[in-house]
Amino acid sequence: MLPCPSDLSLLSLRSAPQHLPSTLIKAIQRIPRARPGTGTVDCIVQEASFRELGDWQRLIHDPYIAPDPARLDRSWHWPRYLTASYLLNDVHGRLTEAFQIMVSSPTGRAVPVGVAMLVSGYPHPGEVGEMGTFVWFLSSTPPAALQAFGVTDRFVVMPLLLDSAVQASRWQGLHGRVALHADHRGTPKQQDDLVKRYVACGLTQRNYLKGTPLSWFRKMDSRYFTYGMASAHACTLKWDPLR
Amino acid sequence: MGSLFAHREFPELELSPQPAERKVQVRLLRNVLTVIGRRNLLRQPMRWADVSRFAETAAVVEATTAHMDGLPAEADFGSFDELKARRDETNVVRLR
Repeated sequence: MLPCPSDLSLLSLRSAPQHLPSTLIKAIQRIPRARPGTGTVDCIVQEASFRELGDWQRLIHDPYIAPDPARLDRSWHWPRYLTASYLLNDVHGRLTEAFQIMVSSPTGRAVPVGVAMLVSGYPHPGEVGEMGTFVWFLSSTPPAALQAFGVTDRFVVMPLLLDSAVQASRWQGLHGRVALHADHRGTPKQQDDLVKRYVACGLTQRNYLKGTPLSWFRKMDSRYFTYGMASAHACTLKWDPLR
Repeated sequence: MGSLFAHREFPELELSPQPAERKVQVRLLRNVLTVIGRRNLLRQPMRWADVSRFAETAAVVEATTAHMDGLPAEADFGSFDELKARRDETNVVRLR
């Protein structure tokens, strides 16, 4: 006999590992300045959709990132990527989210320091049967753009975009599992720099998984980086004083 | 004329009652189905690495542009304090 729905909910409660309720999983409210020892400033983590990504594209990306040949993200188009992600992922039951981290200008206007697009519900590399959140795109605001909006400080951005991805994974019940795939474009030096920055954020490079199946149709290369539950915990613990 | 996709849960997928416009709408949907169907038959569903090229197709570009044209274009990113007041218990400003 099949258990009735109330039996099922009891079973799931009994077997579920103990984790924080999602309302206690919090995003950061402060962001450190890039220069060590110079303190933190107020910040806001904001969900972003077409309107916010359109503003990012028009006010930050097009004037400051697209013309810069040193930026690996110069050809990106965030609103179009959001459309593409909705089309490609919704039918698979995967959730697309984008987040911006905002700081205040001296005149009290919000200014984004970085943006990330996440898709939750992918098989997590290296953990068979587990799902995680995939960081599709992340980008930081160039200093010239910050200055144009009156912000003269620079900030620690990438680790805190990744912190937001870990929290988003937890909000989806995926226990902080996060993966990303390093961009294959750019010069060897640009790629090496990217890898170094990901490793410095506590991400594990899954190069030993090269060639192993990620799904029925795909194999992994050596450019996947992941947080598992433990490394995600270590990553976010470091930033807990900022929440 | 009844609509192929008339459904109260998905009103945006209602097709035009105008035959010519309806034909164009169906053709676009067929094109999308053809792309996705072919890739699935070849066991090559679209990957993250394909997204940038997919996003540059005329269908995605023009659909996104049309959607964005309906949104207000702001001169900046708004008031920091107003955003801050909208944070929920997880410290995030949610859009829903």
